[in-house]
Amino acid sequence: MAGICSVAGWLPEDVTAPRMIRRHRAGCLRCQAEMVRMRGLLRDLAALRDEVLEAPPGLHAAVMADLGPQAGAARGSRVRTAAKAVAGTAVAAAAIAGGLVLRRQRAAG
Amino acid sequence: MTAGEVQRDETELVSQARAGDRDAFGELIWRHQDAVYTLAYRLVGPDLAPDVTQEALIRAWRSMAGFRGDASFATWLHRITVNTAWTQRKRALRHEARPLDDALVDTGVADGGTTPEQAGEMVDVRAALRAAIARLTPGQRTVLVLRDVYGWGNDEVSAALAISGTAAKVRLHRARKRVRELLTEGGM
Repeated sequence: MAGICSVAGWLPEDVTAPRMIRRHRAGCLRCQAEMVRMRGLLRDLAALRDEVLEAPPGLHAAVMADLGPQAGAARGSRVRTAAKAVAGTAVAAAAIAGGLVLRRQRAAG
Repeated sequence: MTAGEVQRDETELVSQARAGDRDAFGELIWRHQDAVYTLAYRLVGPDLAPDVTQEALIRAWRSMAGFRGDASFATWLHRITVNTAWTQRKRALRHEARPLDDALVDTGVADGGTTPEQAGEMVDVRAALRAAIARLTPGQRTVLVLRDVYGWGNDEVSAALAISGTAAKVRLHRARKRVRELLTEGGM
């Protein structure tokens, strides 16, 4: 029975245990005592959540100083930079082409 | 200010932070840094907790565009903290589990309606519990803290730690058993 006890007493009550284990647990005082202890442990563990530690002083400032760019902002920035580069190249190309046309017209004239 | 107004306010802050507003994100940090630090402290102990907290908050800022609001901002931050803690733990392979109880004992929440004797017993139980948790293996501790302290589901835990659901359950079972043994050894 010790083998079954090692499982039955530790299975949380919200877990659907196999019928054999449930039947054993219903009649085994050792398992029932273990379940009570288990319930107490889970209650105590859950209570720890209410406790909150104070973050070290200076943490906020350290985080703010080291934020850097956001992932989305960085992507947007890269896109904007690329678009500006393309636009700049186009303007330069148009200026060069315009200059060549003017030069040919002057040469022809 | 009602709870609804506080919530709306936080939603606005999150929206502004997503748009790149550092001040809004700074306000969010003020609100959540203690909770993030507490979780980090429980997962990795006092030595690594400040670094984990800082890195987690910076990761959150950089990933704000990825926050869709499916879960609360606090839950999202907790997930990032767990991932960060797990990553840092892997980096610090030599990091030993340290007792977590020293600072936590002083921050026990006052429970209304209890006598000083009952409050004293509660502090004792909690201190013993924290010390027991600190003595678990990092893997067991993480699963126990997330499942039993923070109430995460098994699927969430296994996804966050990139382990199978069965592995998460086994770790939880062993962690609970070990905590009980340690409490018994300590006379609890």
